[in-house]
Amino acid sequence: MHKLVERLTSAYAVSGDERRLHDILHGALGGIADEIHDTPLGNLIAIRKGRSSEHSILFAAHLDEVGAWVTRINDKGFLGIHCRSIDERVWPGLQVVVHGTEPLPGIIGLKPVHVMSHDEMDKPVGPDELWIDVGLPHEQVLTMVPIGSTVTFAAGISKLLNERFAGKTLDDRLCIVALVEALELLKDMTLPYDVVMAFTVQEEITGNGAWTSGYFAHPDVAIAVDVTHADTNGVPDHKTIPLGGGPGVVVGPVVNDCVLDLIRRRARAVEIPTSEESCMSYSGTDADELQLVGSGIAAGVLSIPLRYMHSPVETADQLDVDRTARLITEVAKGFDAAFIGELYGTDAH
Amino acid sequence: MEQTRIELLKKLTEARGISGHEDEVAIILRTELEEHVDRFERDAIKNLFALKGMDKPGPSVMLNAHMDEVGLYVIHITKEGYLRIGKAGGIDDRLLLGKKVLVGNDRLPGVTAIKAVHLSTHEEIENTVVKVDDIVVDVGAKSDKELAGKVAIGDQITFDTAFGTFGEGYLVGKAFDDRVGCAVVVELLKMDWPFPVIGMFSTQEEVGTKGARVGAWRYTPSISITVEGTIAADIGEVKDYQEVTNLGAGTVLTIKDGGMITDHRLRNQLIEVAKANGLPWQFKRMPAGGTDARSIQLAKTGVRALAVAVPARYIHSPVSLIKFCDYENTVSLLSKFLAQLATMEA
Repeated sequence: MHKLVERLTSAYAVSGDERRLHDILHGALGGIADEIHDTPLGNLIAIRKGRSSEHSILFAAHLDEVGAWVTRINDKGFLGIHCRSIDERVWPGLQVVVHGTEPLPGIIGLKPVHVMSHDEMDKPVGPDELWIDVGLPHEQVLTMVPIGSTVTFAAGISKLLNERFAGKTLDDRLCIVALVEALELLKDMTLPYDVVMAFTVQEEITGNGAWTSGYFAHPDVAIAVDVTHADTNGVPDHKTIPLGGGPGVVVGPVVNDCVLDLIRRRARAVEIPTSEESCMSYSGTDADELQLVGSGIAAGVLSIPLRYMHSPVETADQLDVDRTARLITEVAKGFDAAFIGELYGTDAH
Repeated sequence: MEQTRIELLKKLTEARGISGHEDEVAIILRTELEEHVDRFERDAIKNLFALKGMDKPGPSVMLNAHMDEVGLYVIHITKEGYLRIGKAGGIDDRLLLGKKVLVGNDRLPGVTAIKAVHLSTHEEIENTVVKVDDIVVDVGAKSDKELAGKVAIGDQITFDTAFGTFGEGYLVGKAFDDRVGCAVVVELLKMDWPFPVIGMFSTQEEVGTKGARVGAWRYTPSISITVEGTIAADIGEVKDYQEVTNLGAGTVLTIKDGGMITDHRLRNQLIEVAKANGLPWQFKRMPAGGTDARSIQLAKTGVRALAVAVPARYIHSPVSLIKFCDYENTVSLLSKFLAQLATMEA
């Protein structure tokens, strides 16, 4: 496991709080990026200079994580929440962190079975019935937890068999790791053009980080690196790609033909296994916005297979992370004059 | 003192032992009590007895807590390398999605699977409870063959929950039911008493109070005190008359539960001791459920039995809470009660 995995997943940044990751990234990018920029919305953009800055290729991975927001405090000092993009059935029995005036550990529990009726147990706990216990008196909760404070799953990585591991926020911190790992691999190489690594904000709620990063960097090509669903017990095969089978490559109208061809060629050339996944309309990644920035950017999507997405036990395989990092470096190396010729050549239009 | 007691609670709650797998807890208890009791015994159902002053005069007192915890166990290994699971003890299925667990005696880390939110329908999320039969544990294996020698049918699966301090005066961890009871009994067994004391750390309470049933036959006391970690539902939006007990409100005394009525005279003496010493106590306000106290009460011609407890939130779940003051007060109350019992019964 890359050393950054534990550091990045033990940090907390629900959409809007992304600057909490900047220090870790500044540390990780020292010596492998030529420039680092902080944009008004909180995107962190690292640039590795090539021989020429006439063209650039951008890779994007998002900083934010899914979470919840405190909406109310009851008279026992328990916190009610609103959440987005999370299966609410995961909350009961979980430890969480409430990001008030300081981080507070919390528990979302249920009444015990002894005082629960069968009828109650046959229905999922509704969003309005989820209450966080922080073990503090009501008055103290009122001062320490302003309404709107964010709530995250508690951090902690479980190391499984086969270099697999589970924890919160592997979506999308693993892809951040892959981008950093790619820069490490490119450290002593001369690149034809600039490589831009955009660590974006708010992917989970708006895609606004991708919009503004695309505008900031004006790249010729933008590839979103995100997670995708890996094979899961009880889910049909056609909805997932294999865990441990290498990165996913998205095929569909979001993806530019030349970019797709470049990805496929480089993967074949260095024998990195991939799984292709098709998607019509939106890919659910930063590529959806990047494609439409300004007068348009040639977009692509690479993905790391992930089980149990948006849960506290997202499960991945380090092999897939490493292969994704290698594929990014290959694509960056292949982003040369010949490719630019193809991209802007009359044939391609 | 406080730090030592917290250390013991940490050791006991982080130990793993679903019903029938209590050895790890028994080892900790033996080590803790080695210098304080005369001898240990284990019986056919693996209860651990810590015996003290058995040749002393006077009526014998049993101090009892159960070693097992609720959890899960392996019932099948799929070809793909997932573990199908069963519940050991009463757990609400709705607590089981997306949790970290440890499998088998080698503590193999795993997680309970939860389908990605994007792959579930609104109907499923809003209306369907995923039952334990449809939940698998993922340990990262790629096939069943890979698990040969690592995981076996029947292996215990426990929640991977670290012990710690929490909020203002709370302790967080798994299995306070009934490791907190074990810890109280340990503290009482470290003290010296003028009468015979039978420490009985029982097995298989969560699957039918089985250990206590045979254990109380082997050593049948005159008086018995079962110490539990019991339900506190003083949470969320639960109405005050349904809270059962409250954290921070002192030792819980059972009058009646689903299987027994505790000894009125002993309980009233206990309350007098609490009042005399200014120690807080509360009744358990739910006359249902059952504990080892019933099994002990019914041994041979019957035993005068009490059931007391430290209140605990979220028992029978991956993570529970107690208040340290309730634990301390329970140790104080029971030690003062035993001291008085010595004079009264003599």
